[in-house]
Amino acid sequence: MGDLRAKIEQDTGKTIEGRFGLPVELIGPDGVSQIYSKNDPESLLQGKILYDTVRQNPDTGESVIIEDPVVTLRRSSLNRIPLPGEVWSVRIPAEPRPDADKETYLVSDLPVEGGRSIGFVRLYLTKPEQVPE
Amino acid sequence: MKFIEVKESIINVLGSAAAGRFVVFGYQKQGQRAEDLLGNKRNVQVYFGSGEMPESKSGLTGPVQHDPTFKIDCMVSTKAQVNLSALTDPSSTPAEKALALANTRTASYLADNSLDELFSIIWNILNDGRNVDLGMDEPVASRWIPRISKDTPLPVGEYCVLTGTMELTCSIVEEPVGEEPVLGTDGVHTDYIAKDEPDSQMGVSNESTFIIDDDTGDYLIDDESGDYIVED
Repeated sequence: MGDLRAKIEQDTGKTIEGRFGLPVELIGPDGVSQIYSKNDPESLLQGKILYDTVRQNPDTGESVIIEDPVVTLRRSSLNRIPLPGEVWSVRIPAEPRPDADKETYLVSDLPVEGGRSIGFVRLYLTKPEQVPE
Repeated sequence: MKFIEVKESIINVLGSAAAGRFVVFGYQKQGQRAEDLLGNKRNVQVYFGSGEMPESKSGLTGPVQHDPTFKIDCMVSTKAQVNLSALTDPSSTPAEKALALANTRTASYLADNSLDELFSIIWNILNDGRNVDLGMDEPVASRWIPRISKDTPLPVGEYCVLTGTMELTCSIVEEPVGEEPVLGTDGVHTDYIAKDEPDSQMGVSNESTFIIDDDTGDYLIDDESGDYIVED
């Protein structure tokens, strides 16, 4: 039968990094960038990117669409896993096209979602502005 | 009433002293975009919240003491700040990128600082000795800011919106000037059954007391002699 968990993790990889995957660049708190996948150093690191998030307005309970991207990455493809409290930067295409210009985001205060059992991490991004001089 | 004049005066005092650091509104705005509150476009909304009027015998026919509470709602919006140039420059070293990330300022941190600064500015303007009468030409007693409160930061996409409220109290005198009814307009009807005429209806309008005759449907007004006559 083989290792079922390994099979599930592979399937997760196909889902996240397959046809709908988009190139993602991570910059960790040590300033080191990851552009290529740990699983395949000759391939760009890919992730599933949702450009809009649905949140609930805490005052009214109504659903509000927020233009904050959410990036899902395969854990095994990462050189370093983002941990709570760390400051990470993520560069993703501005539009859902692999060749689009990249924009720089910060990982927001929202906790990183990570499923060690299923093998993915989910990062909620926020768009910063340039520090005034 | 006098509190309206005082509110307008407070708005003028704050508006004159804003110096581009905030924007003053004389009412509660119904929703706005977080990006419209960025930087020095942070809002200050001044409005009458409530008033206490201690009962007094002289107040029945003369001036009335009024202790109003004005609400000053403050709203700020911020985005996280980071040295984007260092992060996007291909020639940046890991050390430079690490420094940029370490010096990131989160949106909630900046919003907290911005609101604290706004509170300080507003408090100093209103407590300035030159504004002891809140800009009015006549004395305003007991000007005081008894309370300042801050709400929970609200993430709105890439922005963090933070609100807070200051309360401003004072003591003024309201002079009842009377209200002239407008003849020919419909009155406010309150129906109840009169004691000695169970089939009638008595209503109270803003013009006079009247009865509706059930049989004829005529409006009967009190001619002040105890009788009711048909209203023309």
